[in-house]
Amino acid sequence: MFKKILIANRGEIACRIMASCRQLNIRTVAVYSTADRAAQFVQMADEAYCIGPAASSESYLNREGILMAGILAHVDAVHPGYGFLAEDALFAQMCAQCGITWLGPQPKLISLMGDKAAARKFAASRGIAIIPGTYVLEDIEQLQQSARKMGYPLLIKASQGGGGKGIRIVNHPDELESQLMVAKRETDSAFGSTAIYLEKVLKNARHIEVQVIGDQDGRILVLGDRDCTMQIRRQKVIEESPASFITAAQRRELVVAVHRLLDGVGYQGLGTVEFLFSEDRFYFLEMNTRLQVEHGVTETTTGLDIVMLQLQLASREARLGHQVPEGQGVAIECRLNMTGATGENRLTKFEFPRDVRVDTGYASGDQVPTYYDALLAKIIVVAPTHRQAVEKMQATLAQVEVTGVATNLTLLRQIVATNWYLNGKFSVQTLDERLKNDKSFAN
Amino acid sequence: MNEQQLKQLITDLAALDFVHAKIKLDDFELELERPDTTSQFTQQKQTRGDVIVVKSPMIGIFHVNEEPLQVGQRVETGMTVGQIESMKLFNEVTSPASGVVERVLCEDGQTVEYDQPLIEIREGA
Repeated sequence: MFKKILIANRGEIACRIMASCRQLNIRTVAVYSTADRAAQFVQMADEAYCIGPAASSESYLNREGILMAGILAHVDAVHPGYGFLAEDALFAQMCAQCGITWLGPQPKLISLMGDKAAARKFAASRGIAIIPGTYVLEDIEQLQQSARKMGYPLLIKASQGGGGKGIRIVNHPDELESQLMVAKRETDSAFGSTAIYLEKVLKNARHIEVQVIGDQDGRILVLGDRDCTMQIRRQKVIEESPASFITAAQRRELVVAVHRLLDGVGYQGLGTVEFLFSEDRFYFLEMNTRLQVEHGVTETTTGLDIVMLQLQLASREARLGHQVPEGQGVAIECRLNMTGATGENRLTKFEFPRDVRVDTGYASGDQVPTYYDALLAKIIVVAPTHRQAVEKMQATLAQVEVTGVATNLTLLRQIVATNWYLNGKFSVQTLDERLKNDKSFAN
Repeated sequence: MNEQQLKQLITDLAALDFVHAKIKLDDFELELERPDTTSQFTQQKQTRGDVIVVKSPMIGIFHVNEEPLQVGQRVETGMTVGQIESMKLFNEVTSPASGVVERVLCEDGQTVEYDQPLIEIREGA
């Protein structure tokens, strides 16, 4: 087993990974920016190194600084968490060159799936349905021609985007040319590439994803599915595992598709294959080659600690079973997010009921830095049925108390109280539409 | 927001000390990034009275000069006061001011973090 692991991340996910390391008696090394000096994850680590200023480009994205900390601390592995360098093939390669195990898939698979257009092509080549659209097109006339065939509305997507970033919607042919120009400019500045492609907007789509794990020999196992349809501007807000609104046959279909995509490619570590589900069909959306924010709902129903399993597989101290783990009950996660900075931005009150799982990187009294993502806590409940889980989440959110920082708590309470949420009558666009049209919703 | 208002906003912002700013007014959104000048390691300094603390520009191993700095020694602006070895590269740390070495806070070969105080210089003395 590994003796010492560096966690190249911050906040709740750094704490989460360290908890699994402790279970396995692995020493932990945190790296942090000057804005996180007092953070929980820094205190929790066995060793911690300041690697740069608040701006993540010079701290949490500073490959050399992070690796130098790893070398000075003599770590044998790096866990990247999610975001930051988690899907950075170059960083994965650099770790290997320094003799440090990268806890994730091989760099070439990170690159393949990170290039969303290439990933689409790859999925199609493995016989998986992809969302109707194009590959990367440079020529404006070709783009216009394809758009005419596809019909409107359609999406312009940045090939280096993903995770709901780098997407523009075009509702009418007249807008296409100008939107293409804007999209190219945006993707160039955000991702350093002008590669874009077109995708059809699927009607009433739900976001369904599958958690997978691969061992060192690339044998993969499906660990369960999640429904992450509840989104605001393509960012997930509430997740559920397993997806309650698909049938057993559809679930089997997903498992087959994921194996078709990944069998024999040598995938190691955790990953999530995302699909859009529209008119009874699944379409490959993208694959995230890392641990995901919402992994906790899968853990709660399967009883697995998937980070621990990842570490055991990476050190060849565990073997994968053949069966998809039998889940028990339904788990729901709400993402409690900061919605704006207020003065000192200090969590004067930050309290949760004790009988639910809360993953957070903050404690009462902490100041929340405004340089990083808005996630304050993930609140996870579990109950035998979807309805009971929703009721439990309603009761849980009613007891959550947060002051000192503006949050989406009121909105979360409102969503879980609606009938359309309880009955699963919503798509990836529903929440955006409600926020726009129903003024009683907190925004 | 019209052009004049926008220009005024940018002028107002210029006076503030920030690295990253995101401003949202109804439909108007402005995002600004500015280089973090405190991280420019030749200018890494923090005044405390008239003592200037030279801080490490990065995580690495501190190396003294061939002739190590001595307390009481005179240094000029831009003079190399030591080096930080990081990922096999040696990065010179230069003095942000002219003055006299007041304290040397780390030893040769010591691991230093980003922002760790290395040397104190009494300015002008």
